[in-house]
Amino acid sequence: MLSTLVTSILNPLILIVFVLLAVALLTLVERKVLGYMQLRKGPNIVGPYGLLQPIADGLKLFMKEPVRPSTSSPVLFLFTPMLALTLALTLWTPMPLPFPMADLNLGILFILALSSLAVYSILGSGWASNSKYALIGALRAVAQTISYEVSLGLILLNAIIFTGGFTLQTFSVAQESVWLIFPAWPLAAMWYISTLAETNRAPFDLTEGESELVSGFNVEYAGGPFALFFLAEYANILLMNTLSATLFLGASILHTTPEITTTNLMIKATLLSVLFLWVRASYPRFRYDQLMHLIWKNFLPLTLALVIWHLSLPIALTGLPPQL
Amino acid sequence: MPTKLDVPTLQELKVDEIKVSSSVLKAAAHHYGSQCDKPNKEFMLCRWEEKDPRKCLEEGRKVNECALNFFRQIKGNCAESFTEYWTCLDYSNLAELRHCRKQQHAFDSCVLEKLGWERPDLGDLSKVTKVATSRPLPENPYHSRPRPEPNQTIEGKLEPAKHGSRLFFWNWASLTLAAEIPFARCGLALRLAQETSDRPSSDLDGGTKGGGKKGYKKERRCRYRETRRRNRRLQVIN
Amino acid sequence: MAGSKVKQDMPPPGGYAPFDYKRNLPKRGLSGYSMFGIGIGIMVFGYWRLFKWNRERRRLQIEELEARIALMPLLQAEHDRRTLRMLRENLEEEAIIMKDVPGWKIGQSVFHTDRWVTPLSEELFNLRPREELLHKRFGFLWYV
Repeated sequence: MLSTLVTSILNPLILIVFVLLAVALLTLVERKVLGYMQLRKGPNIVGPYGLLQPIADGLKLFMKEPVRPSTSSPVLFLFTPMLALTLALTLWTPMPLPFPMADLNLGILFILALSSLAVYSILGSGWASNSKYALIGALRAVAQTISYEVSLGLILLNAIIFTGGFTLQTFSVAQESVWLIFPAWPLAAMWYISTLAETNRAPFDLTEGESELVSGFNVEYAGGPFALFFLAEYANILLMNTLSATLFLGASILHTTPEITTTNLMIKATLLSVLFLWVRASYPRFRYDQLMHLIWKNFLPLTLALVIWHLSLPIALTGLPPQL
Repeated sequence: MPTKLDVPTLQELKVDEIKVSSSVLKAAAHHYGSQCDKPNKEFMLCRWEEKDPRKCLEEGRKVNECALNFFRQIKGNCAESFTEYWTCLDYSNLAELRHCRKQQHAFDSCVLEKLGWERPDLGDLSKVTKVATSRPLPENPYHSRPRPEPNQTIEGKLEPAKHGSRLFFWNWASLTLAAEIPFARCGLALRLAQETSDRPSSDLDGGTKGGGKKGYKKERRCRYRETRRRNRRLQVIN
Repeated sequence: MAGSKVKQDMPPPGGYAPFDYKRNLPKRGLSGYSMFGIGIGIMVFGYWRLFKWNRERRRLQIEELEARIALMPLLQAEHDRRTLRMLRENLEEEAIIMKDVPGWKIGQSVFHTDRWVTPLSEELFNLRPREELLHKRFGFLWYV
């Protein structure tokens, strides 16, 4: 009874609380970093260094009146933000931090499947808003997300060939000798760009498209439901960066000092997140056809070729990992 | 008829079990594999050949005895280094041996010194081995029924089929015939018959029935003729 | 025309002097080829280390598997005895439970065969508390 309580209620709750806390602080980091990059200070009024700003923002959002457009589909309109956040939090289940919530045998496939499920929350919200801006924003976001998932999957396949397992812990074992970014830096670069596009971040934030789409699929959302979308988006960003750190930056258990494993992993994830913000501050938005050309005409052929290359090379040099 | 399940009594099954945890077993595994090689292989061979746990109880008992003896010897001679080793394994995540090389080395050297046991090399334990055993090879371990009698040989003169095989379609004869479409004429006849008979009474179903029947008969006759013709031609070709 | 007073603004005879409009970036850092070379070099180094480690991992896996191979007879013998013991206990329990039923044969197999049929865990744990069956099934499950 007690163990059931702990494993199925308390453990997830602790994880959720800390993920949400990290997300809140990530928004603050984003505003601060962007601020300093643009020679201003960012939020610094609420709390020391503006540390309480995210809490104030959250409070504000949840106290605001949630707008429910009279012509929208009410059930779907409220259901999709919940779905988005639920998926974003569920995605953390197989993450090795360094021990996962549930030891999924096929953890990578689980993450891939759930992250493609997130498309439905975007599509549903855009459609249910009954607004053409929201609908077009949703369609753009969905097309983009689905396209970039192709390259994400293929890059994962490459990494799996190197490590010999679909469990994320296998990756930490495989990278004990050398980080995967060294043999596979082209893949890592493509992976990082694809995660940018997958999470609809700048310079691939065509869904938002302020000039023509106002704010993308979530124009009609305000207050609590909007906060849910917001949290889901940032949870996804954090998750993708943690995943990148596990896949390519070798966030493995250090057997001499196992205590700092989580710190190690999260520092790497934070650095990747700051790189996200740097990219956002530096690059102009892509045009839509450029975005599509990048994935279908550059990344897809390249990753496909690399799959073949990375399959044949270990076979030729007997460098295949052990397979259970 | 259902058979009776017969199970040895609890008395027969009574053995001093080895009550140690998995990390202890794993820590001792390699030495155990080389020290108790004989009873282990004997038991596994018995288990493989007999396919029945009830028949290998004696061998199993020997395995157990050997293991008990083995652990007693370790306990008597190298208790300290062994405890250190298995505790290390117990505390590591998946009890992987590579994390405890230092303790393993201490344990190995202690065992080599006091008992003269050498740690088997990598690959020694997974070798295929031959086992000399006095146990007779079991007869029919699967309790298979006897093989059925083979079919009796056919007496009498066997001849090839008169018109060749009917199963094989794509031979040259049939191809040339297929090209001629032998029954096309019959279909034409059928349609002609229907048309002629339909005209006087086409408004009622009953009227068409007679015509259809007549056409059917006509077609059958036609097909029969065509088949005869075809068979004759086949004979000529063959 | 010819005697026009207006002086048109014209370039000086011979045209303007050429002016420098070319993009002039200082050449710094490595050349493209050498960066490419360094990239390939890093990849080769990475492959070498990774493949070496993967071969080592295969050896380690063989070692782990050999530990299991060595232990298998012991565990199998123990498992066999446990199964048989439970079957025996079940039979005795069956005798007590079904003693009033006329024509009931104790320990009648449902199979028309003499060969050993490995009992299902449901069959073994049928007369025991459900927790034991659940523990047997899911107690040592690592992966979901």
